[in-house]
Amino acid sequence: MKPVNKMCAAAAFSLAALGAPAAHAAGVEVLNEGFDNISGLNGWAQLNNSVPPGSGWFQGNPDLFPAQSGAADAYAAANFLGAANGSGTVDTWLVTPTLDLSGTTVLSFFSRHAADPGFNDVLEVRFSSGAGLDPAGFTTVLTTVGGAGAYPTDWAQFSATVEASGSGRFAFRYFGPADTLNYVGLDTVSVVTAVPEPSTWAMLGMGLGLLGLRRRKPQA
Amino acid sequence: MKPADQESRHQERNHARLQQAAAAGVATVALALAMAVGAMTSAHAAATIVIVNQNDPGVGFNDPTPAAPTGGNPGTTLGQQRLNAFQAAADIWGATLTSKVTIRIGASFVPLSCTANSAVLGSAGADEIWRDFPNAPRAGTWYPSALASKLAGEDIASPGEPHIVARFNSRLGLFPDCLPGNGFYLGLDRNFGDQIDLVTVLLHEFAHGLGFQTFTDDETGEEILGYPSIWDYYLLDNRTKRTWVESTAAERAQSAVTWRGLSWNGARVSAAVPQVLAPMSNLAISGGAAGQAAGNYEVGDASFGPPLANPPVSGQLMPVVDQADGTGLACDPLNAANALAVRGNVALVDRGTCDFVTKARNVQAAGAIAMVVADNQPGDAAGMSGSDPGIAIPSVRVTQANGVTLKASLQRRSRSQSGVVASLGVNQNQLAGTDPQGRILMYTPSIYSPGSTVSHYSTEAKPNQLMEPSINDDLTHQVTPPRDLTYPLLQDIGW
Repeated sequence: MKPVNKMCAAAAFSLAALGAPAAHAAGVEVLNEGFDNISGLNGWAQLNNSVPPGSGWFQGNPDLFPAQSGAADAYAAANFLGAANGSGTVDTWLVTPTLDLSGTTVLSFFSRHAADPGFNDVLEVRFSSGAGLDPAGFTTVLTTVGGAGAYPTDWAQFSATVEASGSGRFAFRYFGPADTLNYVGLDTVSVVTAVPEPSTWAMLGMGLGLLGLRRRKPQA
Repeated sequence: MKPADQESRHQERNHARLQQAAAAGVATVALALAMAVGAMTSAHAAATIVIVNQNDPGVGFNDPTPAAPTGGNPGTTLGQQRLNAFQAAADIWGATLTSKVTIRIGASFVPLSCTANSAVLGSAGADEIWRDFPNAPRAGTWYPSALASKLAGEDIASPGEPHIVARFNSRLGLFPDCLPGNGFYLGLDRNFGDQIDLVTVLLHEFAHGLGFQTFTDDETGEEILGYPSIWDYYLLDNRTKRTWVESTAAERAQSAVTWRGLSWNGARVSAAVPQVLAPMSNLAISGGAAGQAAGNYEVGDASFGPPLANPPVSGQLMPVVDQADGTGLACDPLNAANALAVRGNVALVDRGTCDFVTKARNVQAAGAIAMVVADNQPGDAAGMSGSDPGIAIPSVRVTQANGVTLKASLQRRSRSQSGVVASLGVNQNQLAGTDPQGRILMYTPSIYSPGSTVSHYSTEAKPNQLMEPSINDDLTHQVTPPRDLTYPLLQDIGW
């Protein structure tokens, strides 16, 4: 695994590197997706708000570059054909399943793009509380890859932290004028949320206790 | 084919008049008649072929327009030069064939259909057909008049009738509505430049008259009076594995519009095929992103650029996109994004708007190593015409349907890579224009083409054959192996 080399400093959200001992020890991983099979994703959703709409996110093309981990094509990709025929404006979304979050939550992922000079790929990461898919709900921009900054030409890890409890979804949004875009990859998306509240542990404990009682019952 | 991206078709019509057995063996007087109208003969031929000038005074062969001797043709009028070219073609066939009976070709230059960019060059066929004549090899079978006379050992044509009728377009290249500027080249030395070599056209049309045609209706499959043509014994439906004589009319009609559906199953042709035809051109698609598009594709060859060979020219397939609908015509120099796409790669462009050579020139200038042209209308794999010595990259043409498949595989591309690899090479295991058993295919486009369907070899043959439905620039004046398969077919039917 490569070291964390990108930090996003949005004022309202703290940043933490996945794998930092404190965060890891204290969290529960609620999502870990390696994109072995884009068409078989469970609970994920796609939105294509491109004008005119073309292809959405698709299985990685192993001959352009291999996946960050797993099989060579085991990553999600998007390209300038998000707008039909590569003409118009691309705005394609890849949205995680609805996750059950419990406080400090760390999203991490890997991304890179194809290094053809003269193009300016942009990938936004957004968050929405609740289970909705309306883009208007994804008001929170957690981080932006590319755009004003350089998009990495080798796999690099990004992470962002959000404070949220209850349902929530993260969205990866590839967008911009089609003639400025090229091809980006997304791999190894992980969401680690805080350890559940003590009341939850207590209920689990009661459940375990009941189970114990029931197992003992025939001997009574 | 010539001229560039135009359909210069020539069609033969079946002028056959039916002769029953009772009428066979009548006239030998026609020879004297033919000589009387001023035809020339060739003293050293194994068969003598004479031209019966059927033009009126002042036109066609009698056109008095002064002409400068050209390309070994010493005639000083247009009419004389036309007659000289005819005799040159007749002498080539005369030296090839054997017959005791002088073959008479009733010939004329007449207006035939044309437009500004297409024309019927000529048409020819047997004037009469015969069955059950003396010494007929097969009973109840139609033979063309010249062959029937050869086999009978005497001239069995009706009195006053030639064996072959041939007509050629008198307006070709001479009028704005008839392929202007692309007229017949009347020289005998093949230095035809941008013109159409008349001797080649004549060799082709004479072959039809000698018997390179079926007399069965290739549109309905109906036989004439219920009897097959000698041709039909060798015409094999390579799907049903039955010859035309073994098939029903409906089966014959169906096979005539089945692409690659009819083969010539004659021993002489099949024996000569390996020494005449080159390996078949092939487009192989592979690569990590090829998916459903992976595999081998039938292609049409280009008359420009280097021919396909092994090792193949291989590179990533990348489309040119310069139209709002996502197609790429490459009729203008490529913009930066398209140039980036094709540089060092195989360019995929769409047919249309400009000629094939212009497209090749533009993608080559942008750095492409090869070009694949996707057809813009339904149909079978066809070749690409045109010439430009400056084109150094190979090109092939694929069907519209295959173009759609290839484009679909390119949706996962970046600006400079697709992960779909195109290899332009040859299939050493199959010869160009043959079926899997190595028999040459006949011309059976899935859209019926009157006058061309069935009675020609496949346009997929490589090198181009004299008896393809279009005249190609690479034809020589040879009608025999190792260059050409016309004479072996005539041998198969009895010559």
